[in-house]
This record gives sequence, structure tokens and C-alpha cells, in this order.
Amino acid sequence: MAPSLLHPPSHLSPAAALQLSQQAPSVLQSSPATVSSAPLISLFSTSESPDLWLKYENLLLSCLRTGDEHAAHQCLDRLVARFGEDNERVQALHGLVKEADANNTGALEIVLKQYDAILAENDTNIPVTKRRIALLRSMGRIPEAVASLIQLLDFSPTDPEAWSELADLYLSQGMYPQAIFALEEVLLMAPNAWNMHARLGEVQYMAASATGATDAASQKYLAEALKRFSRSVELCDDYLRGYYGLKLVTTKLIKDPPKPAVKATDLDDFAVPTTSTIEKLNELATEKLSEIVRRYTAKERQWHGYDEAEIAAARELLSQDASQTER
Amino acid sequence: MTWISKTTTFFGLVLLAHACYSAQEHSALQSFRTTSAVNPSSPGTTAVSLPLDISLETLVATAIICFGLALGTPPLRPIQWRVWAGKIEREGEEGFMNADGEVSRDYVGNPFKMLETRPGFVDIRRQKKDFAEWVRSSGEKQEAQI
Amino acid sequence: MSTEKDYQISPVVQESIVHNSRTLFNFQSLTASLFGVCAGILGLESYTGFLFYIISTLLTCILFYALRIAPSSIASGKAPFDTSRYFRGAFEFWTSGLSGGLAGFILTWTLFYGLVRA
Repeated sequence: MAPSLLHPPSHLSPAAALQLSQQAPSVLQSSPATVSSAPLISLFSTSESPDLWLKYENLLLSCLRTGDEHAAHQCLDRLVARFGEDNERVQALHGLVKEADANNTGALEIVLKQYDAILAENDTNIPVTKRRIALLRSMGRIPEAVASLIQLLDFSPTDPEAWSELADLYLSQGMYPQAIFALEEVLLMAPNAWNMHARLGEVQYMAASATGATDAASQKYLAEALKRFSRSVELCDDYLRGYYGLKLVTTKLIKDPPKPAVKATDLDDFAVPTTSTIEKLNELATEKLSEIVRRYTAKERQWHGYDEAEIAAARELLSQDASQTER
Repeated sequence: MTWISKTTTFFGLVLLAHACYSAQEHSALQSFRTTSAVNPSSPGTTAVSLPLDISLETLVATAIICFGLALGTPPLRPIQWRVWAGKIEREGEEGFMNADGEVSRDYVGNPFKMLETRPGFVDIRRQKKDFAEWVRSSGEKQEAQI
Repeated sequence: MSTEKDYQISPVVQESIVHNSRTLFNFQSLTASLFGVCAGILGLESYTGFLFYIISTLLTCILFYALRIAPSSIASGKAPFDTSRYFRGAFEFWTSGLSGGLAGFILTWTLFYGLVRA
């Protein structure tokens, strides 16, 4: 079944993107090329729905990805015809098409200049600001991207997407404490986002295993990661990623148990639970993971939603664990 | 699933319409009889109750329609956060089909997915490159198979 | 423990609540009108009609429970007639149809009574 065109396609696999962009001719043909906003004409033509424009936008993204520039330009033309050149979102999409068309650094510089020109006129244009940051990152100018992202966040501090991007940028630079801070901001705005809890746990786990982390710091990160993964599975039953992380963290904690010298110094700190609790958590995670893997492999009804790659990773982790206990 | 519900409901409606018509005919016949009766001095006989078969038919038709309608309702969704989130993770869009076997229009999957994919910051050039590589590698795989 | 804290720890999905109560409401208003038709054809009058309405509404609740709630609810380890998987209050589930469908019931009841007995 083809994925829906109503959701942003950026996370889809290449195969799914191809499938989407192959729908382009039929979608473009089935809807009229221009929708008039004159009241009399709109009475007689097919009604326009917000879905249609969402579809065009997502189709545009998929087509750019697969290199179907003709269809992408058609989508863009229709969006421009409806919303005008000056619409902020259309401006961002326009820039996106130019970015995809650009094939050398010079062309990219020109696109960047255009973004700057738009922002000089109106510096509250958030979609274009985001495009500019993404382009800077794509060109490898990370410090500039971080600086302008921080500027954007000063201006609109309640944008979880921007905080999440900031976390990713910091993470790509290996700046763990900053990345963790940004992710905590995301969780302030979306406290029930189970995938962000797991993400934060992953980043903390990475920070704990990073070279150069002191023992005490690594202990603290591991304890925090344990807490985050536990919360993610508390918010979502049978969450493969959460249980995977939980298992990793507990295994590590069991292998080198925390030194008793490490004490919770202030109230916000989270002390590592006792060894027996950690062992119980580890058992639970193992049990759940093997149940998920078993039922997914047996193709049971209502267990199809998992990602194939994630299942494979979980299977590998379980088999590692099994071989260790045998030894 | 949906055709079972529709045919059941339709059958029930036909039955109900028939019962309604029969009841109407019955009462018309009754009033005709009382007015043209030889002895018009006994108006108490007008209140003859409905024959048993018509009453039964009405009740059965109602029950059948109810059953059909209940079959046609869309599946409910869990209200506890963890059960609902678990359903999204475990079943994907399959868990949110309506009675026609289509994914409901208001299904969005994990609503927090966009915090990780971040469509506003999409790096289109890298995606394009990845896609080209994917095409190349899958082409090679096919060639290897041949 | 306060309920506020409970909700923080295990939150409730608002969209699902809206979806479920809308589904139930649609079903019950449809069936209430249907019972009106039935009562009109049967020629029920005064208290018998209302009694018929109350009993049939409760029966549809049970039917709805058996078809839509019981399979997944009991499979997840809930006691029979426990609707907490899909509805917040059990009382709300069993009685919401009584007030919601009454107007539709009376409308079709009088209409069909008049039609059949004209």
C-alpha cells in the first residue's frame, strides 16, 4: 500500500518515495491546474480542500528527492498560482526547489543570498529562516547554522522542531551536554512524546560511552538514560526502541556497577536504583524484546507495525546476550 | 466487513417497511369494519391490538437493523496514552482502519514523528544523493541476480 | 495520590475520547430514531412507550459493548462490562444514550403513530 500523501514524506524509505513520486502524473492530472478563488466560478468547479495543497507540498518533496523535476516544478507552479509568490511557505518551497536544482557551490551561494534578501525584508519569516539554516548545515557551515538557529530560538522559543534540530546539530558536533539540554527543552513542550524520551535516552547513553567522560559523569548520564528509557516504555506499550535502550543501559550498569562514592548531590539528581531493580528491568526488557521479535517474525496479526531494520537490531542484541550467558 | 453491515441493515429496513405497511393496512381495515358494521353502537371494538405476527416482525426488524448499525460503527480507539501509543507502534496504520478497510482520514501515526524527521529543515540535497545511490545499488543487485 | 498526578504519569488521549464518544453518540441517535419507528408501529402509548425506550436503549448499549468493546477489552485482561479501555466513565457509557436520543425517539414515535393510525 502506498503511503499517504497527507503526511510529510521525509522519513520514508527510498522505495516508498519512488512510489509516491510515481503517483505524481495521476495526482496532477486529476485536479485542475488552477483553482480560481472568484466566488462565482468556485461554485461550479470542484471545491478545493486544504488536503489538496498539502498533497502538492508533499508530492513536491518526493519528486525533488527522486529527481522528477518536471513534476516538482508543476506542483510549485500550482502552489504559487494559488498562494502567490509572497507566501512564506511558498517562498521556502521555492528555495527548496532551487537548492535541489543547484549542482555546484556557486549556485548554492546564490540561493543563500536570496534567502538573506528575503530575510532582510522580513526577518520574522520562519519557514525561510529554517531553510537557510538547513542549507548552511548542508553546505557544512555548522557554526553559522548553530548561530542562526539560536537566533531563531530566541525569537520563537516554543518551537519544538527547532529545538530538536539544534539538538541534532550539537550531537553531530559531539557536544553532548548542549544536545541533552536542547532535547530537554523539546520534552518541556511535548512531555508525552515517547520517541523523544527514547531519543534523549540514546543521546545520554552516547554521552556516557563517549571517550573522555569521567567516571562520575558517565554514571550520571547512565542513570538519566535509564530514567528516560523507562519513561518512554511507560508512555508506550511494546515500544521496541525504548526496550532496546533499556536493555543496553541495564546491561552496562550490571557489567560495571556504580561506585558507592557517587552520591546524589542535589535534589534534581537521579540516583541509580539498586542492583536488584536494575536486574529486574533488564529481565523485563529481554522478555519484551524477545516477545516482539517472536511475534513479528511469526507475522501475527496486529504486530506488523515495526520497522524491519529495528527488529533485526533487536534480534542481534538478544543473540549477543544469549551467547554471553552461555559463556 | 462493511457489506455485511450494509446488507443486514438493508434487509432489516425492508422488513420494517413491510411491518409498517401491514400495520397501517390493519388499522385502516379495522376502522372500515367499525364504520360499516351492522351494529354501530359498539365503538369499543376499535381498539383491537395489532396481530402478533406484525408486532413480532416489527421487533425482529428493529433488532436486525440495530445489529447491522452496530457492525457498521468504526472501531474505537484506546484512551490510555500507553495503550494507544503501543497500538500505533505495534500495528502501524493497520490498527486505524475504518469499517471500509481504509485508513481513517484523521490518522497521523506517531504525532511526534515530525520532531525527529523535522520537515522544515529537510536537507534535500542529501536526500537526493541518497536516493540516487539507492537506485544505483538496487540496480546492481538486480544485475547480480541476473 | 492525587488524580492530577495520576494523569501526569499516565495521560489520556483526548482525540480518542472524542472519537469514541462521537461514534457512540452517532450510533445511539440512529437507533433511538429507529426505536421511535418501532414504538409508533406497535402503537405504544404513554408510559409503555418510555419504558420501551429505556429498555431498548440499554439493550443497544449491551449490543455495542459485545460487538465493539468486549473483544479487545477482555483480551487485554479487563473484567467483563469494564469499559475503561475506551470510555472514561462507566456510568457515562451506559446512560449517555438515554438523554441524547430522547428527542429523536419522540419525534419518530409520534410521526409513525400518526401515520399508522390515521
